[in-house]
Amino acid sequence: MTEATTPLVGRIGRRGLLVALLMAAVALLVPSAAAQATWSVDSLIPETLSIRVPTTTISFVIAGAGYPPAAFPATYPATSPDGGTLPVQVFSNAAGVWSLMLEVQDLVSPAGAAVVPASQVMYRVNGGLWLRADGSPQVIYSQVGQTVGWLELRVEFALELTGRELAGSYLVNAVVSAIREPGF
Amino acid sequence: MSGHARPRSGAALPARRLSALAAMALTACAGVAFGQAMSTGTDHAALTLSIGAEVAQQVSLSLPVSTLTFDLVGGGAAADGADCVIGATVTDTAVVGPALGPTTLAPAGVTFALDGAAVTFTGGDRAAAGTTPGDQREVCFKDFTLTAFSNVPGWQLSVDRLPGPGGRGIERLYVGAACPPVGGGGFYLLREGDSAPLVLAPSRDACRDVRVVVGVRPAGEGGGMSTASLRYTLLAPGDAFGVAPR
Repeated sequence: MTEATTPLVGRIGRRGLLVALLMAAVALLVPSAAAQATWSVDSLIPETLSIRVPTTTISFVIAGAGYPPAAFPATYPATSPDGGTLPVQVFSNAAGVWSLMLEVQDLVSPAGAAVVPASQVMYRVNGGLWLRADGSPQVIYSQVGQTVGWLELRVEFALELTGRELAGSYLVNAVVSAIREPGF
Repeated sequence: MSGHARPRSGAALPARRLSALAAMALTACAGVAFGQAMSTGTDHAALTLSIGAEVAQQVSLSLPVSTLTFDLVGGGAAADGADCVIGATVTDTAVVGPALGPTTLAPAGVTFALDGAAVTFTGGDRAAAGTTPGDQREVCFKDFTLTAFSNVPGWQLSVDRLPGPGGRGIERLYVGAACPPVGGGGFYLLREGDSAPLVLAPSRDACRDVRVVVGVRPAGEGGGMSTASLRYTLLAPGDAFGVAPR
């Protein structure tokens, strides 16, 4: 029986066994050398504090059957946005205390002759107590730590009339801001 | 034949898609999404909110009673809660008002004055309860508070006499008004179809609750029911004001 006629299994078997024995001998006699590479992965996410609100005007339209009221003072909810509620969304990804602040000053007529004091603008957050603006920045919400995505706060507005307000238009630019307290 | 292999046409993004992606990225950095305003910072962010109020021009009147009755039957008008006064004269006397002001009358010489919440009468003596309404110097009064509202500077309250709901018309009907807490003076004698100015308010806060005094002369009335209707009108200047009757 020649090599040509020797069954394939037989030929591979003797050669394979020989190779395996040689590789084993090499593995035992020569120390193994494994190549590894380590990459340092750094994730740098900046500390971020962000707020967003719909682009709308908080409006009070005082007219119709409900004005003048049976008695003063009387409170009127905002007619815009819908339901008199403004959604204010806040995002914070850092530790520490952050606060949401609202500053409303006096409403003034275009000519500046008539004024509705800021104290007659009322607001409440998430259905809480009604509070009055006072012309200075007021903390309306505080939280420790980061938000889970965007945190939405419902801020409702109302206007108190004392009966002394002249007819006409009044306008003011209020400021809503978020601030993170410095850590020590 | 070129020896350089050219990249397949699908290997790179089309230029249009690249520019669109770049535009979206730029928008995100600027912090403005459609319909929202956003502000971002490391430790501070602020946005401006517009707050506007539109107060419509409005005037309003409120009467506490719709009918004023002088019951002269039995014990006389004094028994009906009216203030009856026996004046000094039988005729009406003129009351000169302030400069350029209207001239009013003092029925039987009687004028009125406000004293806080009370109305006092001068120029006569109070008629005792049970007095027979035959003295021509007797004048009987009733008063009420008319609430006026106007959010426009300067307004005027006037009164018109209209035909009554039934019976004869009241022969002599007097109407006067003043703004609390002080004020007073004479009255207007209103016959059917007459009108008179009651209060001129130069500013909104000059007068809110108007005290109206209505008087009749019992001796001049015949038997049975005598009636009259009084219409009060509040007018304010300005364009497009609305009237909210109560």
